[in-house]
Amino acid sequence: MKRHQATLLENRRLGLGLYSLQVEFEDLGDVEPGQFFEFLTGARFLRRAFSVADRDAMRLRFVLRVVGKGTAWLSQLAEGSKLNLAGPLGQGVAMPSLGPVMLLAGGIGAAPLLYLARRLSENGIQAYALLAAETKEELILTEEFGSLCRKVILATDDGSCGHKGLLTDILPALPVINDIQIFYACGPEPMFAALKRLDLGKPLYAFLESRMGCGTGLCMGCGVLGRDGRYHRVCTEGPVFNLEWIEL
Amino acid sequence: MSLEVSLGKSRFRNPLVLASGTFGYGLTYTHVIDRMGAFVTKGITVQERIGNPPPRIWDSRETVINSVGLENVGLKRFKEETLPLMDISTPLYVNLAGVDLDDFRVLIKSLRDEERVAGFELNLSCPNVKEGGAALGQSADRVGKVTSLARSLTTKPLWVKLTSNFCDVRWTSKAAADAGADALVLINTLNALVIDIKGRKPFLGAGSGGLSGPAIKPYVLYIVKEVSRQINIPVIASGGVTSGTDVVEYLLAGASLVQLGSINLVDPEAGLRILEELKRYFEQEGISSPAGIIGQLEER
Repeated sequence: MKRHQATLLENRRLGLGLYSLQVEFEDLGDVEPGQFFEFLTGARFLRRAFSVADRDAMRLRFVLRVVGKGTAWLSQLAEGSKLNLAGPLGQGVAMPSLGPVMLLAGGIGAAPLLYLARRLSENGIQAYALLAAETKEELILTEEFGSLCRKVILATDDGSCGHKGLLTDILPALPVINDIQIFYACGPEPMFAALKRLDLGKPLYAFLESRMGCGTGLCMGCGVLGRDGRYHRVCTEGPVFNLEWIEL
Repeated sequence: MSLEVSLGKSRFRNPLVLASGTFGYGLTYTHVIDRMGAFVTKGITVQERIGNPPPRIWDSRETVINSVGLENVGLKRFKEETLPLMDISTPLYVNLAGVDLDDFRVLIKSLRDEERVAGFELNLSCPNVKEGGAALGQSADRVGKVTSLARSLTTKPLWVKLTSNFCDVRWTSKAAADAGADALVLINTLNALVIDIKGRKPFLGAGSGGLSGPAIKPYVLYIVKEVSRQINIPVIASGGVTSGTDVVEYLLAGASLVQLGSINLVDPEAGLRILEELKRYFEQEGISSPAGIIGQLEER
């Protein structure tokens, strides 16, 4: 595990309880989409894990939602502050050899998919994005996806922006769906369960969120139930899993 | 200056021990394990266990509460698949989590002739399982019986990891010592409950968990001091160490070895930092070896 003393360049509110953190590293190797960093906070004993939302040279972007004291502490951190980080951790996703692919984001699930969109674009793989959230206030990173994807489709539960309805209600009716070779999804657990029921007939890689202890595979504190009936480490075996392979 | 500690015939290069359940099976971060005094594996049960449903972890500024529930590969896979992969120079202690005497018999008989295994830590204290664990460790009678059985089956060092939950750890400590334990490990996590007020239910998937971390250090220091003065076998402390001076405190209180637990989850290389801090302290204070300060806490 590599530790970093990094600098918080920008801490910007994106929407309802959502913040975008731009962090500058002194030394940073390869980072794959899906990988995450663990942040030490002044409010909690354990680190907090956040997936990489974007990269520009030695700068990484993270998006967080305030859910407790650790995330609240980070959301209030002044620009210019030093951060104690560990990473990159977890297994990233391999670049697909052919497209088009589709990115399915529920709420803050848009974060890791944005970095994937950037890498897909760099590799010449065509990507569509379906970004969904409860309300307009929680629909984030839409412009960034717009600059990297062939098409971005928006949806909100309350209809305040884009299509009205759940991501899984809108997805089957999209004309492009039959051309999609691979789906990548990140969102809340009910979204994955609904995607599983849709049975899209193509591989779907699920970027999982999990309450982690260590992030390094030592504590067995995070787990996703696999089809083999065993818990698997989200931190070291994931956080990206083939949806077919996990039980929800 | 030497940090070496001897417990009976066993020698440890320094007093630091990686605690069970906080360093997996010892297959990763081996550069850390190789610098420690000893390493204790994740608890091993006779049958594989998938552990408790998530969420399994909660924390505050100075605590961790876990309800992992002894997820482990089970004896067969541990022996056939995990143990052969282990490549460490540090004494390896296997944490044995039996439900009853028969389980401990099976576990010890199966592992006692393994050359890689230096000794055993009997887990009579896990709060996160319905059978075994703390249910065995809360009774001096049962602690005595399990320890006697284990003693009759192996000449390898036997550590007995105890609980202070709903029992008097002075009596269970005495029972373990009388039955032939080589050392006591004090203590496992404290029973803990986290409440989700919105759902009006426990937050952790298992309903409750075990509390560890810096917040419990003063409590464990007290227990280590009391028990080490009353029982004449070595005490291994386990409770909230995050720094070299924490280790010094436990040595003064009467511990011969000191386990590192929750801090490994913040930084798997914390052991290396704590070792450097301990060395520096010994050098600065002109202490030549841990033996010079173990149990040297003065009266007020």
